[in-house]
Amino acid sequence: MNKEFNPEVMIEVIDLHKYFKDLHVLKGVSTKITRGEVVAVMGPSGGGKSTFLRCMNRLEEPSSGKIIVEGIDITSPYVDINKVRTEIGMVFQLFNLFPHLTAIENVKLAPMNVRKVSDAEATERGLALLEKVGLSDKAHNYPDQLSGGQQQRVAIARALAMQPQIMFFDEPTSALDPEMIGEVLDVMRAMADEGMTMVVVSHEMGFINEAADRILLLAEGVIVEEGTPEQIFKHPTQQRTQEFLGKILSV
Amino acid sequence: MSESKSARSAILAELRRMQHHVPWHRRDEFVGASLLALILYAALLPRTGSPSVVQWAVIGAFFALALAWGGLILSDVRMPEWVKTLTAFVLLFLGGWLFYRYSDADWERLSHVFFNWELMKDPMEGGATGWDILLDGLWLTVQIAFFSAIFSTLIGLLLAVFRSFENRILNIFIIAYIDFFRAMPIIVLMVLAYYALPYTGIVLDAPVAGVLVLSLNSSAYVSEIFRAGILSVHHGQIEAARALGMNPVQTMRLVILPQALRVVIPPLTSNYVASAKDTAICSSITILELLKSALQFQAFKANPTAIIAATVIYILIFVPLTRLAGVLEVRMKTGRAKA
Amino acid sequence: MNYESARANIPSHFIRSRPGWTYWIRRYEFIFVALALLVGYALFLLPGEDATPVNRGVSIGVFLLLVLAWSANILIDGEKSDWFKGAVAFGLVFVLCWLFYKYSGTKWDKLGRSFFNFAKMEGSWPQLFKGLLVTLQLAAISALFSILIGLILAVLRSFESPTLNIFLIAYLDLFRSIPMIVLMVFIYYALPYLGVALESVMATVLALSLGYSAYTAESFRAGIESIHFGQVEAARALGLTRLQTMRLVIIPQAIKVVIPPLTGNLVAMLKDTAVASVVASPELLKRAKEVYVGKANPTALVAAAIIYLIVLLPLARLANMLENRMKAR
Repeated sequence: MNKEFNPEVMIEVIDLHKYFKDLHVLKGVSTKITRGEVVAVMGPSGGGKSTFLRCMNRLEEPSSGKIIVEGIDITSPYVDINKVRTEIGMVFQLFNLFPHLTAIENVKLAPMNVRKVSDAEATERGLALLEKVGLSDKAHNYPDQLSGGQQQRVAIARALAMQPQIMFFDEPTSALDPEMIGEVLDVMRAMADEGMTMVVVSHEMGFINEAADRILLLAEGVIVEEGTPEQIFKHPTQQRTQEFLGKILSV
Repeated sequence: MSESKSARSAILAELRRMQHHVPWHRRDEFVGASLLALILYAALLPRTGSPSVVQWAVIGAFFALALAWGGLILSDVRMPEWVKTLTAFVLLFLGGWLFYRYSDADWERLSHVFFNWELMKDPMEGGATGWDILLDGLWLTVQIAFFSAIFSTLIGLLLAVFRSFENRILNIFIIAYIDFFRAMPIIVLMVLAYYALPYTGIVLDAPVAGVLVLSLNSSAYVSEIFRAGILSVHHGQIEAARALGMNPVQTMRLVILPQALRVVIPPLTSNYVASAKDTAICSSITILELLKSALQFQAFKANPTAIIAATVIYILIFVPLTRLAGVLEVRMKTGRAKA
Repeated sequence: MNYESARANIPSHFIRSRPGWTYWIRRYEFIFVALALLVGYALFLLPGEDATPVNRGVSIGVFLLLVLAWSANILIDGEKSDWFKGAVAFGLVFVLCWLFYKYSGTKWDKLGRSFFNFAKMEGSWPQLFKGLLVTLQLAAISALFSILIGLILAVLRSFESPTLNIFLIAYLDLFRSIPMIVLMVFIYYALPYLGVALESVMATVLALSLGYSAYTAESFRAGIESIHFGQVEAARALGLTRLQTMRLVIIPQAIKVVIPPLTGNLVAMLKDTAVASVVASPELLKRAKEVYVGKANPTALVAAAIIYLIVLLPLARLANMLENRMKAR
């Protein structure tokens, strides 16, 4: 049963089903995420995109199916999910920064308490990350003193502080004003260029076209189509894909 | 130095290796075997009666092991919920059983003391049994609660309507009234009303004093509730009513109060339940409501069964009532959200 | 149908046909004539001490009704100025007090000697203040315990384990339903038969702590749930355990939310210490009763009531203000 662990496959999802009460949200999703890949997940709302992402770090409990992260089956009952979660960084649509902590404190919190890093080192690394996302001057500001775009960038720095191998993005720019979307996408693009494995749920066509290696079209709980941006946007084969693209691109 | 990359890879490799490994203490064989061992242990426990120090150690170890085993079950994610609930109750009963067996309490005597139903049925002078006395007390409690609810509602409604006039002078009086009754403990007011008031020439019967104090105290809260209800009616409705030509009284009667009523019922119910609980305070000024009746019986017969019975009656009455009031409040909050 | 004939069909008293026209009962002329009549009634028609009770009752009752009606007429009138209404309100209260003074059979000098006989209180003040000290101590200690227990209960509740919840909810239901005085009496009078004999102060603290722990638990739970769930998710996604999330993220924020209801609880607890007088706790009310019995004079009771007011009025106001400010957010 213990297959040989292939270090190139970061996440393997096998026949994932998810029920919310009687609602069958995910109806048998299977896919593999390889190292360094940027995977975009697109589809109509209610199609299960966010649920799919959140199942992969067990923020939602899968109803059935297997999810193997770096060779570890996280659907197995005795696995220490907290340790696995340190390998996956997540950025949320509503940022979810901790309002009672400053930006640098937000970034330091997890390394100090989960990886038991010293205060000095965590601060040093935290400031470096904030610099990387362009916010070193806001290190001691509280979230309510920052704009949406700045908050989201702090959230990205916070996730990166744990030095994860994979980054999840759950509609990171959907709650932002148009002027601020660009700054967040820039950071994400830089990460993709550096070779980070990313799974992004988003509607940002421009970014997806440029940065994504593969697109999953998730609708009504199944993967309707998958392929490169070239394939999906220019030569969609499924009718559902064409419907969806038609609605988005006409806006 | 923090975790290096290689240290983290090692941790991940370890997780990978152990992911399907069931820890030994979770294995079904172990759980079953330890259960059997515990049952055997139980059979070998010392006899009933007061144990020696060594025997206490043996019993203590048994209970500790039983708790540990129970903890194992309760913390296991795989176990269905009903198994966990069953385990919790079994542990509870086990603790009780051990206590019963070894605490050297004279259980016969204890039941004779605490649950002496015979004594309760035994008539006192005048032919009333303990139960009769309690029921009379309960009836008085109900009456006091009922009347104070009615009076407090009337007074509170009146105050709220006066407050809606938004007359600054009037408001000073009303706010002073509300502040006073929110700050004064009910028992102090009752003591004053019953013991001190006669010095002014006003002698009140104990139940009257009780109802008076409870009504006045509750009316302060009721008026705030009604006021919140009145304010909750959207101002636009009042404007529309006036624009249609209705005078203030008609507006109040036909537009504001009917809508405010729906908003007002959950907190009012909570208030009535709280007020009913406060009737027990009347016992301190010689009113023979439920608690006082029980206390009298206890003093007379030197037996606390009546108090136990009264406490149980209070719990039986108020747990459902408090639940009901809580359900109403929750429904109002969620109902508003939908609207 | 033109305007003129339409107007003609409307009953005349609905139309304010002339500028400055006022409904007759609202006119100042009527009001002051009525006032003069009422004064006359007061001076000449109110009975003295010698009239029969029925006569007195009827006469005073009629007077009272007329005064109330006259005042109500003015107070309801939207066109009268505020200060006029204020004057009328004061006057009304004054008349009511005067009636009470005249007819209640109270011996007012005796009243002073009864209620405000501070001379007789000499030497008793220390006793009262010792009682006050005990009251404050009881409330402080019980508040501390109830907060600790309530916090633990709320954290246990947040585990959302159905099994655990059965016991938690049973505990909460029990202690929210039982009246405080019943709980105190039970602990003080019934428990000794079980071998657990607590003296009055311990019994009071136990009763208050357990009873209010149910309310503080609910307050903490509301505080914990008020924290946006996304933050919990973000913390868990970072790898923090449930307890770490609770300690580092939720509780620091919940504390701010929880302070208004906890203050309200403290005020209620202070009020309930007076109930402890029933189980012989040496707090303020009990001491006051002792002085009352010792000196056969209720001044002590009045003094105690005033002390309660002085302590509790500002606190109750504060608690109310805090709750309103939180609701406004």
